[in-house]
Amino acid sequence: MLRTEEMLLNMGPQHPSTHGVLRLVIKIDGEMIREVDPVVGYLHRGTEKLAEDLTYTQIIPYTDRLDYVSAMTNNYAVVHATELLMGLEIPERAEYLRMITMELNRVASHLVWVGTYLLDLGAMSPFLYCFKDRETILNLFNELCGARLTYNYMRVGGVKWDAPDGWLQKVEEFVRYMQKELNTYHDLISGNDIFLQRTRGIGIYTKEQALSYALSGSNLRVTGVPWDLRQHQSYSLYHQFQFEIPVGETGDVLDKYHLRMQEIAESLKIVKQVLGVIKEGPIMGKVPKVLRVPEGEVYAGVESPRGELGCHIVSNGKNKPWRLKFRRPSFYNLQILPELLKGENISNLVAILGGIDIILGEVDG
Amino acid sequence: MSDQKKEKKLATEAKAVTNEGVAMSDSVGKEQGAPKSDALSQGATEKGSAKNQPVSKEQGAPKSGTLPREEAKKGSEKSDSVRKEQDAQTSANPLSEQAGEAVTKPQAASVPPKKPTATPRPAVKKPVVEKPLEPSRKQPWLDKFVVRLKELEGSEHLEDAFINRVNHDLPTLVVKGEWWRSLALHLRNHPDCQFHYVQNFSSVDYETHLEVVVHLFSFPHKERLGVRIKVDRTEAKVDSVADIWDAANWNEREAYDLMGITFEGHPDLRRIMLTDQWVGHPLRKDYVPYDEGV
Amino acid sequence: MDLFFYLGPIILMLLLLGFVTYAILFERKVIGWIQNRPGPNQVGPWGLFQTIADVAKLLLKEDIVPGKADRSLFKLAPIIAFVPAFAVLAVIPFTDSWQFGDFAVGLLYYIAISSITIIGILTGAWASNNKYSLLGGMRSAAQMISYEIPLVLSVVGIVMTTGSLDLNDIVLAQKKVWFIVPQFLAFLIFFIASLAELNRTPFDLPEAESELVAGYHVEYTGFRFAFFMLAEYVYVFAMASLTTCLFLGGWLPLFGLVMIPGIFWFLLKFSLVVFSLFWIRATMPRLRVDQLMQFAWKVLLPLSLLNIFLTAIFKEIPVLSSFY
Repeated sequence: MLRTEEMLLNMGPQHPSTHGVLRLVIKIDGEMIREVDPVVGYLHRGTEKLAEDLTYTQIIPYTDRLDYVSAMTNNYAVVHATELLMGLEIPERAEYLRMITMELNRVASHLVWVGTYLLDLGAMSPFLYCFKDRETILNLFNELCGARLTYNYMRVGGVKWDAPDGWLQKVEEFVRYMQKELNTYHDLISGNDIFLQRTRGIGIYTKEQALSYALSGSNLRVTGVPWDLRQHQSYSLYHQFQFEIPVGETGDVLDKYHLRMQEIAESLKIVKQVLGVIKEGPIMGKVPKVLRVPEGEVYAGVESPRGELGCHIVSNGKNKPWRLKFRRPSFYNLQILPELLKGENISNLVAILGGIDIILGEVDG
Repeated sequence: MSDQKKEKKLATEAKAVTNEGVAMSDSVGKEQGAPKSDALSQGATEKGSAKNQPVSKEQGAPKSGTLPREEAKKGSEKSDSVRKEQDAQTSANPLSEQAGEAVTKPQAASVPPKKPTATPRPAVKKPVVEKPLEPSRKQPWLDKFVVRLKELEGSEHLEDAFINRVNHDLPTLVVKGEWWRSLALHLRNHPDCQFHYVQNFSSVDYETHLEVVVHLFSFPHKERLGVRIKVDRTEAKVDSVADIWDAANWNEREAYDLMGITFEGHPDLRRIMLTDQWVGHPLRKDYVPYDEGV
Repeated sequence: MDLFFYLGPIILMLLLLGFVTYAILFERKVIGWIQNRPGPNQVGPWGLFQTIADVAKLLLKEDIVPGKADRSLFKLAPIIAFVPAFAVLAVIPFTDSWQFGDFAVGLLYYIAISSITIIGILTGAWASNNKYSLLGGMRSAAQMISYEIPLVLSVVGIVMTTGSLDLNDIVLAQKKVWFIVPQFLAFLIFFIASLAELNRTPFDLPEAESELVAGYHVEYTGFRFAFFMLAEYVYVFAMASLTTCLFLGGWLPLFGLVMIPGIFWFLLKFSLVVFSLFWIRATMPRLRVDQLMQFAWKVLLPLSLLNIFLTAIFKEIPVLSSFY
């Protein structure tokens, strides 16, 4: 009888494919994984504690640093929750600008995912193609709010900056370009046999598991649950526009890839529709200089590229929140990882972990 | 075992309730002509109806109960009238939002839509005339739900049940920590609840006590529910529900780490965000950073 | 002759270093071109001195030997890995006159010597006392040994046709038609297996960056690391040369253009092979360990056996036998 020895492998917090500072303590037998214990918290900055000493406007830049790949959605989550508490009226143009930026940010975020995921699988080129197109989006944002990653763009009651001249045309151009460009991605990646073999049939979980672990976003939709807060909790003005919620069939990582590619297409569709109806107008609602949020408690979730990004605010009627808690989708999504990895090998670990699409800034808060 | 029997007895009644709930939301969907006839999206669009409604009795009570810190510290200034005014505003203002949303919805509420006037200023003390408004859309559902809960063992720990209007009419329960686990089991497993999905798992320090706040979602019934579990501050202990919802596992660790709530029966209660040697729980309001040098 | 005997290898060594330097630059430029970016362009005109700067950096770096490593083996390993890589070049006929050792069993020599490198890699992996490098080393050993079999079997068809293991004879046998035509299946198998032998994408599992950080050389720094890199690129050189000799007619001219010297033709074909190596690297993701093994044993091995079988049959068919 062949005897093998278990080995304890410490993967991370510095490792190329843990996407940041995730640490995985893995018990392996040869290359087979027996047990995984994810250790998080290396990027914990105490945003929730810091928020208690900040006014609502001051909190917004901190949210940029949570999920730094799609900061617009984070901005929106906290702004949206605050607006619910205050019951503010948001001008139409501001909402449209928010939607454009959020959807573009979703495209950018998914592009980062596709690129880095393929990099995890060992293919280098798609990464650069994705980042080239993402660059266009970042430049658009740069033009809009002067920052490429940490936008600090939204405010309670509206947005900070109006679109500069010609910006909307540029967005439209990009949307048109990107809709075509998606075919290039499919040509390059979707048919690649090695890619299919690497991703097919791994990382599958059931619908029940997904619900119990409270997965959200693509990670939930891949199990066939058509759950998208943009439609089902209809924040902002999403209900005015037509878009579909792609769901998965088999639930493996390949499905997640196709799902996210479709989500890019859907986001572009939304942006296109918004561009069709956006009109000139004010970008800030009537908001007092000093934001005093009425006493109360609110939990509002928005659909970030990674899933349900929620903001739970308890206000005591002051200008600073009594308690602010983020429901960080990556944190929830990552929890299922040990379950998925049992009996897999290290190559699959990378493929499955990459498939979950975590952002460590968000996991650690 | 006895619980199960009880549940079965309840089942018939409960089914009626859910059916009614579904039917109601369906009809609303038709009325609205909303693109997706989904209970939740209606929840969002429908908040308009809730907005017209004035402070209901249920809301007044928990408000005073939720932030006892207010009374404790500076409750003197905050009179009832202020609170009511706030409530009126919070209930009035989403209306404006709804107008912005451009949902052409026949106003079911009797009160004509009130134009949002000034921005809310809770500090201003002006007695606002209360309008008797209809109870929230969720009120019947909650009432029936509470009736069923009352039949459960340990239901004396149910402190309060109200609708959080600002939060898309979120039915909210306030319970004592002792009951949390059995309530959680009921919410998760009972065919009329089936809250399989933890939307949010949070914890709040109210200085008089701690609260674990859990937002649940039921996919079969498309219902949301907020549960606020009161936990003693000095001896912060509550039963773990990590085996009921897998999602609670890390969240309980986070709450333990940052808020210092011990979840009894948790399989692996360690600090998750901070280092193992950390002193104190930072999200407590009386937390002072421990510095070895000082 | 004597002078050539002594100086030749040294010249070859220098040429080789030159090749490695510019192969790396070429690789980066090609991949840059494929990926829509300029590639190295800062050091020197068109980035010509980029690799030289990189090598200088590597040589000037601190030589770190991990505390718990097996010191002597750790230091020995890069040498074990590199020496066979250089030694195999002796039998490659660059032109009809440029060859350092003309054995009758050149092909066998190449295959035998090249498998010694794996001992160096495994030694280094084990001596590093690092789990990633150990995993990388184990992967490497499994991969090299598995892919050596289809690699060897795929050239059996050529050996059957020419009746010789001498690379000169093999090249000369391609005067009428290159072996890539009658032995196309063998070429495919050989090319894939050689990619695996070279540890290049999509078979770069031993050093899979995203999984094992850097695989077997994770603990190596400075010039020891440079030695591993050098071994890798010298193998690229050797393997591309071998492919040229075996399947692309070596130094033989195309379209009867005999006035152009043979070395030019050799270099042209050789560059084509090297380019396709880089091209594949830029396009493909990495295989998984089990898929890699399955591919070797379940696909390549039967196919190479089939190739031998077919060659044997074709040799007996009247019209086709002139090609075989």
